[in-house]
Amino acid sequence: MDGREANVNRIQKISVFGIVMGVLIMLSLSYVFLTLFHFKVFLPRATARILPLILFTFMGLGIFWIRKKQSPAEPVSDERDDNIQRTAAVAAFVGTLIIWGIVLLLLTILVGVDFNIPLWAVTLGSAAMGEVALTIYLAAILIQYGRAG
Amino acid sequence: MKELVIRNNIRRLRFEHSEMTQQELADKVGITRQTVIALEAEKYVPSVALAFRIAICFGVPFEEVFFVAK
Repeated sequence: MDGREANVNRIQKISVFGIVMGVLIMLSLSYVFLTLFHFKVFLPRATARILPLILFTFMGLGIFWIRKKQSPAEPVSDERDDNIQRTAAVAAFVGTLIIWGIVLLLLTILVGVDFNIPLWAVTLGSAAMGEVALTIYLAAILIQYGRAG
Repeated sequence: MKELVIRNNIRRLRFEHSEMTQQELADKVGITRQTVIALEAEKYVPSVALAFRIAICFGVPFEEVFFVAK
């Protein structure tokens, strides 16, 4: 049980699961939105059945993997995990602000300040920024573990 | 002011205590094995409370586990 073995703790597992799940959900939502609103057709019946099945199966397997402990006494998190999560939260906050600023700046340059956007675009944009914040948070956690083992 | 480099003898003490595994030490002091790995690699400096818990676990004085590098 010595050395740098492949085992990871619960916070690392949650981070990996969160990133993969986030990517899967974003891909699925993009597919659904494109099909319904851009191509203006209904989803094929098989896809509408298989897509949630894949997502829920993956979610179930992920939760099982996360709940599997390295030992019965393993804590959910310890002081180092808490420090890492605090730093990651700051990184996510700062990173999201920077990205949000860049997006607004680019939009201003590209379409001007008087351009109107529909409400659904604001909703989608907010959801996208939430996903960006979550991804930065989870990536910052993994990077910190990666650096220190 | 020069930064203190805090080192430790955790790995040696584990082997001197019936070759205790990292997981056993982690379970005894209430941390994850990854934190034990980071401590032994001296990539993480623990809080005073955790440092004392480790010393108590080995039954040795605090300064035998943690010391300042010269």
